Amino acid sequence: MAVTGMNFTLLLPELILVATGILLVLLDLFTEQKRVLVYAGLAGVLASLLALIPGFGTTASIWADMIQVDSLAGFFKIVFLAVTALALLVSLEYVERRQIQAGEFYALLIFATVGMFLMASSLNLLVIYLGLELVAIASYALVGLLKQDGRSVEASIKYLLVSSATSAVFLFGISLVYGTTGSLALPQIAQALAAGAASQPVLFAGMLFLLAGLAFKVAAFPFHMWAPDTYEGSPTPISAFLITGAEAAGFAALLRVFLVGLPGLADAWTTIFAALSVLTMTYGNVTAISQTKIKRLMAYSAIAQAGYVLVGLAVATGQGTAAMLYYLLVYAFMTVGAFAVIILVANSGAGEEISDFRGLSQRSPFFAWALVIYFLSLIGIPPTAGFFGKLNLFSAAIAADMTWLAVVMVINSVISAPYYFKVIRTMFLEEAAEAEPVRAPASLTWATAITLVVTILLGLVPDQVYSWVRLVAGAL
Amino acid sequence: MSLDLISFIVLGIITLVSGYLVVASANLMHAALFLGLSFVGVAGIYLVLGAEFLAAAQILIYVGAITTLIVFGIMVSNLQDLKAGGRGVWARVVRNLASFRRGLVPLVAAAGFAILMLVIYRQSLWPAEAPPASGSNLATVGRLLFTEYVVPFEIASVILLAAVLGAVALSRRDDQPPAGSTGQAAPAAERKEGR
Repeated sequence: MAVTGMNFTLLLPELILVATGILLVLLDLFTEQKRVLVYAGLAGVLASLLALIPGFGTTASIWADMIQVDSLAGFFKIVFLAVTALALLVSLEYVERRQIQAGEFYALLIFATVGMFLMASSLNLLVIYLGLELVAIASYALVGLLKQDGRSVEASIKYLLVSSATSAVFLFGISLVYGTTGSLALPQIAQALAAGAASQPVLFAGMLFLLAGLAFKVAAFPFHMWAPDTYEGSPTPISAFLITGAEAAGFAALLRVFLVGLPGLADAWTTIFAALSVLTMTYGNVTAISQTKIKRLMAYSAIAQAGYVLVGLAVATGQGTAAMLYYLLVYAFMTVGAFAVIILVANSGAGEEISDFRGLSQRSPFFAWALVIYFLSLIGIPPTAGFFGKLNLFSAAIAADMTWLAVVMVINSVISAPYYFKVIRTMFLEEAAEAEPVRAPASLTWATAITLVVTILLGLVPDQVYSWVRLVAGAL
Repeated sequence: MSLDLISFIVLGIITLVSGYLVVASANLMHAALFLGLSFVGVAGIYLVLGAEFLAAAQILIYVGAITTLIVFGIMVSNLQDLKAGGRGVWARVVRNLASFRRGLVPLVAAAGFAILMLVIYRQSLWPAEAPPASGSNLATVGRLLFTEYVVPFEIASVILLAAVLGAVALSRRDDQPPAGSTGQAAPAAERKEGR
C-alpha cells in the first residue's frame, strides 16, 4: 500500500530547509568563521525560494492530503523565507558580539521556519499542530540563548510554560473537533459541519479551544501576557523573527482552520474575533504609550498590530483575507527593518532604552530616517506601505457592514502615533551624549536597505501587489 | 455498570490524584514518582479503550524512560528541595487542600471545568462508531504510520532534532566571561569556543 500523492517536487522547499538546518549544525563543527553559517543559511533560503517555483499556481493535495500546495501556502512561504533571510542578516553581527552559539542559533532559526511552512501549508489539524510545535520548541531555545542574561532565561521559561499550556488547549480543541466530526482534515470537518454537526455544543467548545490556542500564538489581548517579557528578553533578531514570522504563521493557521474548516460556525467566531480585535489593538496601543524600553515598545506595538490584522478575520470575507495578507506582508518588512535599527543602536554600545536613541539623526542619518519611515508605516501615514495595509483592512470592515470596527481602528491609529513619535523626537531633537558616528556593518545596512525599499515600494505601487494578494485570498 | 466503566473510573481517579500530587508535593522526588504513577494511569485508560500499542508505548517511553530520566536528573543535580518535606506526604496534601491558593482555587476551577465539559458532552451526539477490533491494532498503527501519516511522522523527527539541538545549546556550559553587559566583546575570531 503506497502513499497517495507521493510528490517530492512539491515538498522540495521544506526538504531543502531541513537539509540546510542539518548542514548548518555540521558546518559549525568544522569552521571557526561563523559568518560562513549565515551565508550557507542564506543559500538554503534562496534554494528553498527557487524550489517554490514548480508549485507556483498549482493547487495540489499531496502526501495523503497532509500537505496542501496552493497559492496561499506559496504566499506565506515567500513571507517566511523573506523574514528568515532578513533575520539571518541582522543576526550576523549580533551573534558574534553576544557570543551566542552560532551553529545551534542558525539551525534552530531554519527549523522554526520549517514549522511555519507546515502551519501555512496544511489542511490537516495534526500537521498544523506539529508545525506549531516545531516553531515553539525551536523558539524556546532561541529565546533563551543569551544564557548569561537573566532576562533571556526568564523569557524562555515563561514562553515555554505558557506555550506548552497553550498547545495542550489547542490539542484538546482538536480532540473535541475530531470526536464530533470524525476527521482531522479541514475540508471533511467543514462537510460534517454543513451536514448538521454545527449545532453540537461540543463542536462549539472545540472551536473555542482552537481559537484560544491560536490566539495565544498571535498574542491577542487576553492571551498576550507572555509576549512583552518574551519579546524583550530574547535576543533582538529573535524578537523580530517571532513578532513577524511566528505571528504570521499563527495567522496562516487561523485562516486555514476557521475559513476552511469551520465556516459553519462563522456567526459565532466572527463576533469573537471582532471583540478580540478591538481589545487587542486598544490594549496594545494604550500600554505602549508608557514604555521606556524600545523592545517592550515594539512588543506592545506588535500586540496592537495583531489587533488590526484580526479585523480581517472578524469580517471573514475574501476582501478581509486579502487585506490581512497584505498587512502581514507589509508588517513583516517594516518590523524587521525597525529591529535592524534597534540592533544597530544596541551593537554600538548603547542599551535598549528609548533614550539611547538620542541624537541618532547625527550619528547615523540613514538609519534614523529609515526608522522614521518604518514608524510612519506602522502608524499608517501615507504614502507608506502601512497606510495601504490599514486602508485595505478599513475598507474590508466597511464593506462587511462593520463600520464601528473601522472607526475603532482609526481611533487606535491616532492613539498609536504619540509613542512612535516619542522615539522619532528622541532621535532628532535630543542631543547625543557622544556624537561620534555609528559604525554600521554591511549586513545591517543591507537588511535596512532591503526592508526600506520594500516598505516604500509597497506604498508607491500597492495595486499590483494587492491584486496578486486578492488572487491568493480567492484561492483559499 | 460495566467492567470497562469501573476500570475507567478507577484509572481516572488514579491519574487525577497523582497528577494533583505532582504539583502539590514539595519533595521533587515524590513529584517525579507521582508523575510516573499518573502515566501508568493514562496507559491503563488506553488499554480500556482498546489501544494496546499506545498503552505499551506509554509505559515504555513515559514510565520507563522519561520518569527514570527525571529521577536521575534529580539525583545528579544537587537540589535542596529534595530533602524538603520529608515523609509527611499526606499531611502536606491535607494542608494544601485546606489552603486557598494551593487547594481551593485550583480544585474549584478544575471541578467547574469538568462539570461544564460534562454538561456539554451530555448534550452532544457522538458518532456511534465501533472501535476498531483489537488484535490487529499494532499492524494497523504500523501501516498507517508509514503510509497515510508518514509526513507527520517525519515532522515529529524534525521536532525531536530541534529539541535535542535546543537542549544541548541551552545546557552547554560556556567558559566565557559574562556577556550580559556586553558592548565591546572580543571579535569572533579571537574568542574561544566554549565546549
